Amino acid sequence: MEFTRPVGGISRARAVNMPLLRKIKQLIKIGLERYNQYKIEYIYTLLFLGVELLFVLMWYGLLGLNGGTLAGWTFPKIAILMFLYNLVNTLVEMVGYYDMRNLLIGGKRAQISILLTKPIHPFLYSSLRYFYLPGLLKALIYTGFIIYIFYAYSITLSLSFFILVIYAFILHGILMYIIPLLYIAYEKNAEFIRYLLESFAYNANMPYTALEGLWGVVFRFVVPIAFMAAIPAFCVDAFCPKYIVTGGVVVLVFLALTKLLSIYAWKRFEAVGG
Amino acid sequence: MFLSVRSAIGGIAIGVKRSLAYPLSILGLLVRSSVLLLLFTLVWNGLVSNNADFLPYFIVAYFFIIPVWWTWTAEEYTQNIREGWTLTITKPLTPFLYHILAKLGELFIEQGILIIAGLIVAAYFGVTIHIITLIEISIILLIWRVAEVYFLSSPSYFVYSTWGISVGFRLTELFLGGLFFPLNLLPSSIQNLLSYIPFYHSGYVMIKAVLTGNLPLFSVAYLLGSSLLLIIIGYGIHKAGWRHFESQGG
Repeated sequence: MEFTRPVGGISRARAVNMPLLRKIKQLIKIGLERYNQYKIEYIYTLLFLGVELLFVLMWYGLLGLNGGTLAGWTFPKIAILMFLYNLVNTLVEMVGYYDMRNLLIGGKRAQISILLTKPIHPFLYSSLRYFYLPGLLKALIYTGFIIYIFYAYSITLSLSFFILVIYAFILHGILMYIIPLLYIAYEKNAEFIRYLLESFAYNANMPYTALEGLWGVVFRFVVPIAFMAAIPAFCVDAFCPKYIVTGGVVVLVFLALTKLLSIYAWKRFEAVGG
Repeated sequence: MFLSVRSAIGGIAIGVKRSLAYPLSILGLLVRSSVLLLLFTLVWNGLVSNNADFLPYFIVAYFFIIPVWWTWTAEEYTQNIREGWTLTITKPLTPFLYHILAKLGELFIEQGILIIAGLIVAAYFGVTIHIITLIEISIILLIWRVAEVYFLSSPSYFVYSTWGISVGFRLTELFLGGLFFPLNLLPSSIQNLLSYIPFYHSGYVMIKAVLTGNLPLFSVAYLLGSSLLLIIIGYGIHKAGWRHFESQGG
């Protein structure tokens, strides 16, 4: 906002005269300074990690009672599922999802209008300004745990795993992008759809490949949470051409739907004086 | 500061109006509970077949036990402190008391609707809910939740955000309190270990109590004792924090 306020009769275009790269660099600096001031965020990060590790250990106990496997899931695959989900979630949400949402609720249309300054897209602006630095620490630790599981259990990685992880990132990113779009279109009334989407997405760390029949289809193709962590983890050491193809189709379809929603949301926002 | 009954009712009324202002949000909560019920029942039935206990368990967990708003209550209080407005407009109530009363107003509507929906869902699937036990555990859990929020909001005067610790508490409660899967699936040694933490009693034990009608007095005492401990610790931090806040011109 400090780059865009018009100065007395000068048009907004003329008031914005900083080179793009310098502007981006300044936004990143603001974001980093913001979180470096609050070092307790790093303590929270370690707290969450401790809780999630406890949960992984609980799965270990659960699987131990069931002969080491449940519907084809062994402990290493479950552990990879948990850590992979958290890794993807952390990296995607590092780009300011939470603060983008906060920016949009509560009738802050004026701020969004101000953010609509070229050449930076408002979501990119928010991402750079509110970059969540402690997320990097979490991401590194989750990556470390995943690599440890690979070595400890002598897992031979398959190509399918890497391709499906890319799909998982894209689907998480789509979700992160959709929710602010809904707020742009519907303001606080978007809370309902947000609850719905988050209810599914924030529980993507479950072994959904155990679902067969109609529900298996629903959670693979209609609400593709199975592709957000479960299927990549399940295919960590197996070649899964079926999932690569179907996952690719799902990703393309949802990218197209997101684009349509984006067009609709901005048009609706502008139509009501945004 | 003194407690005025009229002011307290006013605070609750504000919460009720806030909740009713966005009916779609209430619908969203119903949808969320239903989605969680669906997801967890399906997945666990797929993993551990021939177990009919998952559906009743998760009905109780996601409609009666998991509170609709407690995760963010502490963070909202932190935001109020950060914005600095609370001192002037909550009198004669203390800022925290006003905040909790307003949240209770929201709770009456949102949690109340969830409980009614849960009873309907339970009746539809033929699940027996012991209503008297449900009322008893609701009161006990309300005391526990208020103590939790009081404790979690105590760093508000010192930090920019208490979101992290609130979410950490919630995640711990979800995982270790049997709200992710019934803890009787775990080995008994692990269950014994978990019984030392309050979340075991606020989650798994309460869920079982609603289904069986048997509320263990030990768990009630443990939760009330834990609540008292959180309130005592929270009081000390709130007091120090308020001094810090006022010294900064708040």
